[in-house]
Amino acid sequence: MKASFIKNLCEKLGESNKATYAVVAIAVAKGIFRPIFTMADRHEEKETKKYAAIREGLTEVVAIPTYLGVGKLAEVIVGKLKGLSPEKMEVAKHNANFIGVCVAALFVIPALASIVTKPFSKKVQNKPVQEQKLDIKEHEVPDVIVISDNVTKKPDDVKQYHQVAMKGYQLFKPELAKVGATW
Amino acid sequence: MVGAIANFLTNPTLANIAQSTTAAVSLETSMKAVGRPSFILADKKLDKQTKNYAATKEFLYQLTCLAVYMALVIPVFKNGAFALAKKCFKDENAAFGLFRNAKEYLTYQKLAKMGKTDRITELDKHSKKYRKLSENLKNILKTEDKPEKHSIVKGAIELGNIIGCVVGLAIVSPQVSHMVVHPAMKLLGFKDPKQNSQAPEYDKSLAENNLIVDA
Repeated sequence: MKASFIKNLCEKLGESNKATYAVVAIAVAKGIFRPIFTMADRHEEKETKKYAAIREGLTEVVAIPTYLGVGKLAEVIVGKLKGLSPEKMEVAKHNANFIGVCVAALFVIPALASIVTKPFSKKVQNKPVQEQKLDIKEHEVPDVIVISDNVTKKPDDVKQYHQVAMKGYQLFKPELAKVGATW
Repeated sequence: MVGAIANFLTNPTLANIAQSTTAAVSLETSMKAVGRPSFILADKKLDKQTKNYAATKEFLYQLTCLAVYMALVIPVFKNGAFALAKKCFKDENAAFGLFRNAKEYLTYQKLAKMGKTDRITELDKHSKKYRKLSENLKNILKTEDKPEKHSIVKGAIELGNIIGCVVGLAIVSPQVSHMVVHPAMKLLGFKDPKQNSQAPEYDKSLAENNLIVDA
């Protein structure tokens, strides 16, 4: 049963092997394995890994229908050419499918992937800032920021306080870095 | 214009490339090596250093994929699939038995696609190139109008190629690139922007407002 299935598959591939078969097979495998490898990386943070894995998986999810669609579209366009014998038309359609796959790999997939995965990339890039934001509650913003024993500063607004807390927190004296600890 | 497009689309060389998994995947990976870094470099929202780092990393990754595929996957899986199919499909011995290896079949298949006159001219003109082709196959190619293409042999080789490119590009290449890309990036003098950004930047506006204290 299995041998006959493989034999049939070999015969079909031998008669007509479209470029989409290989690239779609690669995209499916990458869509499964790349997120697994990313999640297995011990050096990255859990949240970062999760978003990166989703982003990688999503790129391949975008790639699969794009390869199939652009390849098919190229075949349909070439099918409208007149004056070709049926044999030549078959060759032309096959070649058009291959060109479609190349165009998809060169332009369409990178463009679509950057649109679809951008929200995920932003989440990953902004994540550390968001975490710090969560630590700072608006009602905890002090009236006065203590710079040193004798120097204090009144923050102009909440935004400025956040800016200090997020960007300059490592430059504060350790006891000043903790929200609420020194006011 | 339409005639030129039709000629290009029915070009036998292009047809040969499009029919071969090896050529299609190699070309597709090369396209990725050009396309993806270009899109990263064209992103206006990223700073120059991050763009250069990401684009170089992507380019090196695709280059590693291509190298792994060509050096490891093509010879192993192409010949492996041929040998395995020869053993498994014993009822197809008439087809598989004609060829010593995958390379011999692919040479035969390329010539079998040509017209009889072109084929004979090619065999005579480049006899050195085809010296490894068996005399039996040369006779078939010279005497028969439409030599048998033995699709099952081609299919077995292509199936091996597809399995090879899946294993090579989705499993082996990411591991190899992990070992190769980072040292290569260091050699090229790139530093990970993520690591650079861990140190907070000195913000002039904050300093002017006395909001930064020297640690």
